[in-house]
Amino acid sequence: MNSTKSRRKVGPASAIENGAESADKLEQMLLSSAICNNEDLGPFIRKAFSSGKPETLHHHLRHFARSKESEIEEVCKAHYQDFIMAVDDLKSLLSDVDSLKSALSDSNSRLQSVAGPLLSSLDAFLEARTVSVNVDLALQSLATSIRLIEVCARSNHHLSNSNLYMALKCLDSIETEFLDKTPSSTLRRMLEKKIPAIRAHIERKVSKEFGDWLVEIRVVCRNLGQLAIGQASSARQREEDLRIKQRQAEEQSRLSLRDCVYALQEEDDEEDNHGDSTNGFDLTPLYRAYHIHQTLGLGDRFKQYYFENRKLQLTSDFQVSSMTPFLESHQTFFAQIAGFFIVEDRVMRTGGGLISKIEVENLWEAAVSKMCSVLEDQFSRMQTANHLLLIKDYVSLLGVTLRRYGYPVDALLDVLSKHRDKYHELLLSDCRKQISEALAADKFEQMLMKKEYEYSMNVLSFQLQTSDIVPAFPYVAPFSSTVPDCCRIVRSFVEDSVSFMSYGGQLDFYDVVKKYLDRLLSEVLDEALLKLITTSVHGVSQAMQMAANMAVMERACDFFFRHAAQLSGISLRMAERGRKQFPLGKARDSAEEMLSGLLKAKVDGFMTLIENVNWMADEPAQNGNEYVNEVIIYLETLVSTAQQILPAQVLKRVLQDVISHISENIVGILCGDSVKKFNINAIIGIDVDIRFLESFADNQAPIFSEGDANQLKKALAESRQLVNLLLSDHPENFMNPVIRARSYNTLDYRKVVTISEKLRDQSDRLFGTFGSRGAKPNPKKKSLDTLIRRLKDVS
Amino acid sequence: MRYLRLILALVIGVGKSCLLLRFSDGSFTTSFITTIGIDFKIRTIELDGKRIKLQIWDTAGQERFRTITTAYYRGAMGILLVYDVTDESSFNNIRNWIRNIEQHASDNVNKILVGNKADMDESKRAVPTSKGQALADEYGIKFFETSAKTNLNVEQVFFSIARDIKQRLADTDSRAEPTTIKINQADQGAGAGQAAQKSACCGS
Repeated sequence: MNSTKSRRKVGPASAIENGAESADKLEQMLLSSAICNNEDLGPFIRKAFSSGKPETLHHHLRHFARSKESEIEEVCKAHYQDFIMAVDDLKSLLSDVDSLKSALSDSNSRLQSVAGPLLSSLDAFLEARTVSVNVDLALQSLATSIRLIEVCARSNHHLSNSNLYMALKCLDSIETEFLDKTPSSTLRRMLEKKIPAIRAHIERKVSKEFGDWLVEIRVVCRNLGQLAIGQASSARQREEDLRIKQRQAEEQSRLSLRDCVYALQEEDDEEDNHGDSTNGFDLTPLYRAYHIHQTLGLGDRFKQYYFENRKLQLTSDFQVSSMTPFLESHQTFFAQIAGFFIVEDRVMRTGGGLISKIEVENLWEAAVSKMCSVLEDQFSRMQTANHLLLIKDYVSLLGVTLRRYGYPVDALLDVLSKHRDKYHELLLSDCRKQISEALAADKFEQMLMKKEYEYSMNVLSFQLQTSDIVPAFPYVAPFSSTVPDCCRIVRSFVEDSVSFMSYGGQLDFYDVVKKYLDRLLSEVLDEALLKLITTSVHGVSQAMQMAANMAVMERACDFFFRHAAQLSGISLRMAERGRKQFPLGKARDSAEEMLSGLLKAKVDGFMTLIENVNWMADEPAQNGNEYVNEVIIYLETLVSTAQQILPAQVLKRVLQDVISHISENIVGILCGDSVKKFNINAIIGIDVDIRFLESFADNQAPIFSEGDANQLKKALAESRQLVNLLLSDHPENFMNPVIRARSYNTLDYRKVVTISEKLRDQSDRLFGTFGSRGAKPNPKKKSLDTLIRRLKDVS
Repeated sequence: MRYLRLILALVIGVGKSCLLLRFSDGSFTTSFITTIGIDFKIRTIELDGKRIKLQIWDTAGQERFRTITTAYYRGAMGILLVYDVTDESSFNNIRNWIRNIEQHASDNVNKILVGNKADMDESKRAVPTSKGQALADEYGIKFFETSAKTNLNVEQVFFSIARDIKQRLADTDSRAEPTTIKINQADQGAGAGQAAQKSACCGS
């Protein structure tokens, strides 16, 4: 429109141009363009007024208005035509619209009729689809829930069946698989609340079961310990039986080797068996508890809990009741501890790290030191040897038992061996008492045995017999009842000592047993016998019985050491090698001394008859003097009884002593003050006496050996040599060293002087009586005088 | 409390263990004979109003090899000699035991003869009661036939020997300390009438 207008504006301007001829025309054109351009007409007006020609302007303006009016007229004419055409168009358009409108209305109504049912079914479809989605969703969550419930039910089932681990596994799977997916918040809330509760319940339940187990295991431990120690004991007994059988077999024959091999195999079989029966204890609750706690993630806490509780148990096991004597409670005490460590060993090996080796070792160390201190304490208070033995035996069995489980037991064995002195002191004092009782009861009479069993009990069992032939009964033994009594006491001592030393950790204990046996014999028995001999022996028969007993005791001592060696498992040859001298030597010597002392006293009694000898006899007594007959009768009766009980050697020793006493006595009489002088006849008489005594000695040869009889004879040497000297034709030979050493070696020259001086020269008398013989000087007397003189010179 | 210690010296296979078990049941946990061949059980009994502890020493059947640790004979106050009425050799062994006792135990130890398994059928019996009684009379000791199985006389045996020992000890005490008895006698008279006839002293 604007363009049209401008175009129209330009038109008139150019028209004006065409019509212009002067400045007026230009001005008019300027003015019209200014108006057309809506410019400010001020300058034109001012100019017009300034130029003083407003009419021109006015004219111009009018002119412009006219041109414009024509222009408008033309535009209006054109617009009118357009308008008419436009109305026509509009009229036709209106009819089109009408037809379209009806067509639309038709279509619409058609559409309406068709779409109505469609729409309703669409609504139904939409509704159905929503429902379907909902149902799907519901199904899905139901399926989840069902599975969840199933798992829950399973868990409950496990719980009620105490399959706690399975229950826990169910809980875990609920947590990982279902908890997030559970659509129901109720269910989820329930689960969130219940799962920890169930866990706590399981933990409580397991802890309670474990607590019950802890209580039970103490009783189990005690029984187990007792059982295990019992097995060790019976194993040891079997071993001992076998050893005894073996020993018997060895004693009987050398062909027993096969038996021994067989026996050892037998033992092996048994060894295998008794591993099993100690298995009879139930660790399931423990492992279950441990496993459950591990599953709950509380494994370490449980380990600690277990260790602490067991440690507490052990500590309470250490309590020794002061109410009951230890003798009565020691088995329970040790069995409890043994059982504890058998269980711990098993737990350590099979518990999957529930307890470590080092922990068990620490516990064991504590236990050992506690047991040691208990033993030390109890042993120190014990006053009865056999109680000590019983406890020692049990402890050594405990040692064997636990060593099989790998526990070191040396410290325990050390305590035992430390108390062996105390034990033996107690035994010794027991024995001292018994021996003194036995000795006090001795009647110094030969023992009478009526039955064979008595013989085997009192003689054979101590190997006192001198011959293997069983005597006829009633049998009168050479010893009194003290001997078997003491033997029994000593044998018991040996057995008790071996019992204590066996299985004490020391293998070769024979030396120890021997040492104590030596002490018993040399300190206790020897002294008791010595005391008995010095205080209670008053007569010859008592002394003889004592001496006889001592001889038997000598054999018995051999038996004791053999017995000790045998019980200690030492070969007899080994034992024989280290034999010492007879431990009862003091008593033996004293018995013999006592006997010979009493005999001498008795003999002295008969010897007083020597007073009756006529020292200046006219004729020599051919049948011996009275005293010597009495003495010999006495000696003969003595020997006949003594040889029944005294061994030949002892009898010989005693006789030798007595005979040499007689010899001394004779010399003493000749030397002593009671005899002032004697003649050769008296000496001849004494010579006969001595010859009687010598033949008595010779007569004993059947009892003793030839040599022993000679020794007896030699006991008379002093008197024999003296008489020989006095009767010798050349007494002077005494001064010859060779002859003196050979024939007069027992003579003391001072005695020779004293006695020789008493020998009266008989020549006076002889002259008187046998004058016919002549008065030649007696060469013998002369020689004797020379001897006396020379001997005096020497001194 | 006075300790009465007994030794149960037995022969093999006479069921002495049953007898002991029957008497000491529950007083001691499972026990066994140790290597030294001996063990003991304990039971506290009430005897004439006094509580007495019986330490019953149990020996293994060790005639074959092991000698009884003789230390245990000594100090025994009473000994029960048990044989099996169905086993004549066990009866014959009693004499050997008595000999052993004479050798090792103290002189005044109380002894009692017990024939066990008296419940057995008469046809199986090998030792008639009269024979047992005769042996007991020979040694001047008491005699019982027992059955551990039916509990016949078990208590009586142990009580009888305990009472005898108690009596013996009381007599010894009364000889030793006559002054103390006076006081005890008064107590006793008030307490138990029938005991006064047996014992002049309370015995403990």
